[in-house]
Amino acid sequence: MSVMSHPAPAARAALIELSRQLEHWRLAAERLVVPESIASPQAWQSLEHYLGVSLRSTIATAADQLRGRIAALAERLRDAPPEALPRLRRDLLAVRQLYLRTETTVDFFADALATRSTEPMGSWLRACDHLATRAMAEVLRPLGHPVPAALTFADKGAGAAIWKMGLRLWDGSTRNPVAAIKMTRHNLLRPTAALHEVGHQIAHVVGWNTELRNALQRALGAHGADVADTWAAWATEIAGDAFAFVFTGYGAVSALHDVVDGDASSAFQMIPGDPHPVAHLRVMLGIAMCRRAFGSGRWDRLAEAWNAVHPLSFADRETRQLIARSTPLLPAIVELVLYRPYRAFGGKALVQLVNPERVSPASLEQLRRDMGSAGHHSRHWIWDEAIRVLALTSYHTTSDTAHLREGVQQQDAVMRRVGSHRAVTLQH
Amino acid sequence: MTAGASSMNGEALAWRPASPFPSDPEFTPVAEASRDAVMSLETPFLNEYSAGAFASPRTPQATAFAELYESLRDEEFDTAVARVADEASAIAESLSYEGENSGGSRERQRQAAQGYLDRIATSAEAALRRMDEETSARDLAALSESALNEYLDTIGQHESGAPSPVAEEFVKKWIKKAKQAVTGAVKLAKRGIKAVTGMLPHTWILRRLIGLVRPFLHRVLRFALDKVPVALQPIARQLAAKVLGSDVVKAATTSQEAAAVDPRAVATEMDTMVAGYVVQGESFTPGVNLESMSEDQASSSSRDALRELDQARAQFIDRFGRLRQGEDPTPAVEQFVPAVLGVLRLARNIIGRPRIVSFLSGHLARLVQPHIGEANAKKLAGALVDAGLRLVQLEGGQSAVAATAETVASTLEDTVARLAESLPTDEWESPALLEAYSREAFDHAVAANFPDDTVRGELHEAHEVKGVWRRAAGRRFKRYTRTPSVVLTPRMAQSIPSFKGVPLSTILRDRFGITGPVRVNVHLYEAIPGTTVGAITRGDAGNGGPAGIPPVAPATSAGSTTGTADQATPSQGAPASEFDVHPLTETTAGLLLQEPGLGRRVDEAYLETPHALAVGQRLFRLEFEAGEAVARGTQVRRFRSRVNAAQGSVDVLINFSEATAQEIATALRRKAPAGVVLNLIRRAFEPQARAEAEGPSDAVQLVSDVAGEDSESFTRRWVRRLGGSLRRAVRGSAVRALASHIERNYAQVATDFDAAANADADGVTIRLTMRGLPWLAAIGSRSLESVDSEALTPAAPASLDIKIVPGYAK
Repeated sequence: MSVMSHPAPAARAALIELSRQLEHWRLAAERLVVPESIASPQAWQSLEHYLGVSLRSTIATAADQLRGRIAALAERLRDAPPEALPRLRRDLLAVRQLYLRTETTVDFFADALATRSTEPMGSWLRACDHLATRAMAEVLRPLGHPVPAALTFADKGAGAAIWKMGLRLWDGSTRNPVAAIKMTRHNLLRPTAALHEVGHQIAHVVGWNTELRNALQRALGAHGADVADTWAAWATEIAGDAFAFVFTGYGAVSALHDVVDGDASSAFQMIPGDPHPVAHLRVMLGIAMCRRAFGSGRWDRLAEAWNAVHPLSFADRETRQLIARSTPLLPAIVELVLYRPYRAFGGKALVQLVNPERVSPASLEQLRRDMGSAGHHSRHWIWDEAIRVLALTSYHTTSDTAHLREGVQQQDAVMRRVGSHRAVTLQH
Repeated sequence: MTAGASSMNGEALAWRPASPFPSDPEFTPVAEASRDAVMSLETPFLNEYSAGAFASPRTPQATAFAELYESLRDEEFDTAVARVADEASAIAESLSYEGENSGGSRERQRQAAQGYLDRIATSAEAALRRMDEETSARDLAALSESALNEYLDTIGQHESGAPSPVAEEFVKKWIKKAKQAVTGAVKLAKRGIKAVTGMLPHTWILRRLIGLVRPFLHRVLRFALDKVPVALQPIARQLAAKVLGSDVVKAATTSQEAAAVDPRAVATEMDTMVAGYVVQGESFTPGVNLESMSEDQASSSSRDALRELDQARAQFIDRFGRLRQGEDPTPAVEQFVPAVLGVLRLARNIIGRPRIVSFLSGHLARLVQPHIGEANAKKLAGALVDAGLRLVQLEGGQSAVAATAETVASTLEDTVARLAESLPTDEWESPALLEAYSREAFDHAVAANFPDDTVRGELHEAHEVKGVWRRAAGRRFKRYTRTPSVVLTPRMAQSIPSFKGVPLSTILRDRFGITGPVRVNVHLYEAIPGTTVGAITRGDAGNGGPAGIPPVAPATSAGSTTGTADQATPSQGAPASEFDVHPLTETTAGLLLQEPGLGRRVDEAYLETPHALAVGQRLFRLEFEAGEAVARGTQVRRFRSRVNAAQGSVDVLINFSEATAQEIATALRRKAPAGVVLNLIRRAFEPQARAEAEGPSDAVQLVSDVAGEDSESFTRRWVRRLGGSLRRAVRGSAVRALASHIERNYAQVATDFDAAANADADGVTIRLTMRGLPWLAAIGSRSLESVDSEALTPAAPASLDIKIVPGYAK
């Protein structure tokens, strides 16, 4: 950048400093998008080709935008009069902000890729990609929607999360090219949460969230506006839980229980604006789904255990009242969520798209017999029936300690195989 | 205007030839060529031997040789060889630099590919040495057949030192072949047939095999680098003929040009060598150095026909591009045509006949003259863009003139290739024939390479999908510039055969788990000299389309299920596997795209495997719009049978894919009725074995009992005459045998199938040996001509031997 010549030394000095700073950000922006600085070659290779290209393309687009702004500012700085200084300084600060937001975007994917570059984590996460993609395809394909690519990564914490495909990223202009799903490390081998998260993506694509919210509002209005408003506000998370249930049955409810269980404050915590239902009601709703779809079962024991550990007396008055008024409504809410037709589903109910009967205890037992001992290594079962195999191992973990251990081991073996197969087919 | 037409005043009008281009004012009739050229006739074909139908019976050695050879033939080994060759090619190609002198670049490529193959050789040799050490002190002849098989399964473990998964697979297949050779040697020794070698037969053959690794891979290197099918000297076959006292029938030649070396030819030579060694020992190759046997004949050792063609093509494009309107392109064409002829086995001999080359070049030059000059080029360039050629290709430095020159170059190459296919070169000395056939070839070549807007309507290959066949820069294949989008229904998929006649539905089910309708983008390719399936899958890596990004709205006409996905998406998508590339015949193109003209008929020989393609052969690959259609990588189901009339037995091998195996196992676990189980089994193989399947099917192979005739040619003769009836007889008899067996031994079948399906192997195989089939007796040792197809009525066998084993057994 050329040095400005201007009679006012202070202004000239400021412009020189501006130019110098801008050069700093320009060089930083150049370094930001070198693929090898984002992730190792192994990490890139562990992605499906189109995923890798999508990510690199998105990062490149964000970087181009940043570089474009820097170049434009550099051009304006070239012959800027002193009175332009304040504006130029604001622009520099804006560029700096943009760099930091772009960096956040790049960092997000870099961190995600980093968790996939070692084994067995890479295999586990590729298996989660497989589960997520198959689940999305099962619902979206018949409805004529394209199936998003899924990129799963691991991180700390109690609960999973999703950055939906199409979401505007931190840089403000590029859109997320993939359904990026965070799986918690503790739940990686009981990944029913992945189905909850893809449920968010599916609901977003088909427009179910709004329809469900309105349906809850209308259906529960007779029971008080506050009850209706509260449940309607929880629509998105109810949608996620519903998908996890229809795909994997009671195993999802049990896994959810293990995540949200805590002391009294967490079991009954209600945060205004939080889309997550009160943990107590969330667990009870899952149990109600099981009862509606399957009748009696192990979930009855879970309900008993939960109520014993979390008596309503531990909740504050307002929450207690909400729970008291909501509990009788749970069966109706289940009907509304699972069995009611929706435009978003092409005029069908969710259970008509994904039949939970396939993951009832009886069906899972039949599946176990059908699979024989090939169930944990046969490419047919672990690939084509990956979701139901997960439902089976998850259900297995709900029995007792020994069975939980066994179920986790089985799912570990299955996911390593699926992840390894996926790696091989990507390289073919 | 037609010949014989009259003007208004009754005078005969001069005949004007029709141009493929609708308005072509510059087009002039061809001058009559001199007919007094004397051309010597040379046949490009190797000498062909044939055995009469009633040749003398075989000697015990010849029979042993034939049996061992048959047992060594392994399709998986052939595939492993093809893949290794392809990987070596890829390594070599990754080192080609523009601007570097061709000699330096060539040497570096050769060294890189050689280094790769050397590592494979080292790994294979080490594995065989370990096998030798483990077996050298054992008397394997004392073991029963099953004990020998069990023992061999425990040895041959090796540490992987191979440089890639493909190379590792080759080493495993080499070890498997060594085990087959050992088994064969031991069996023959028990029968008193063994070569005099001074050591145990299995030790001797193992040590021979160790010595064969590098020469074999050297041969693979040659065809990986050269690609163009040279005259592979069938040394081993000729030795077999000489040593075993019988003539050998050569593999059938086809009238079509092979695009590249068929790896089966190299593998077959190896199997012949091994069988010969086992039976004859050292006397199989008296005084012949193994290294020299790996060298191919004649001039190919220093030629690189493809590279010469590439250089000639570049020169032609440059020269043609610099011509001004009205200038004569003959010199440019004349320097190009010999290079084109040089890569065509069917026409290579023409190079030595300058008068023919000159006549042909002059004729072709007149045909392309209308496209000289910038004005013409601009018109064509616009039409090319409309046909789907990406604008970026032109903006990226390639001017309209260069694009036109490239189109003309491709058209000339295509013309010469079609001409060589349609008119035997010994008839090229006739100017009238040469002109007629070359004109026809040119018309079709224009239809393929020029945009439809510039071509006469009746020549258009497609009605709705308007693209051109274009060679992508740096790629050794052509791609169609449009990618039609269609809904592939199960019925369509059932009716579309892939290689070996396997229905597309089987592949979709077994490899992708797709059973319902699915929307696909159909990528189309055409083979040119040097094309291999690896070149296509490698070169097209990334042309798959991303999941999650909606396809461009198809341009559909009312009621049509086809549309066109724009080719504008950049490289995004998983690289294809060779199993994902399928032949695009006219029938398939009609079914899949409703555009039969986009397909191309080829000889049956080129419908057997993706590793043997014909020049001009068209292929397609499906890209699924749903990202979850990642191939499981599992094997596809197969049905194969061997009919041995002399021994009175029919061996049937039914390979079930993992998905179908688990389906059958589930039914058995649920104690489904025998009929249900039988139907699941039938459903697994009958679509492939059906008599009316188009194209080849390896469902039936006949073992020859005639001296001097190998099974492949014997089968070819019989299948050509009785194929449908034979397949029906075999299939029907197998079904009856299975029905009876399942009914009587349900519990045992359930136990055996359950065990096989539970094993950690991909798929399950049922092996049947049927004896006492009435229709087999009808074949007996009769001549082909005297067998009545009506006698081939399916029937249950008198005796049945059945084995159910895990995996994809041979």
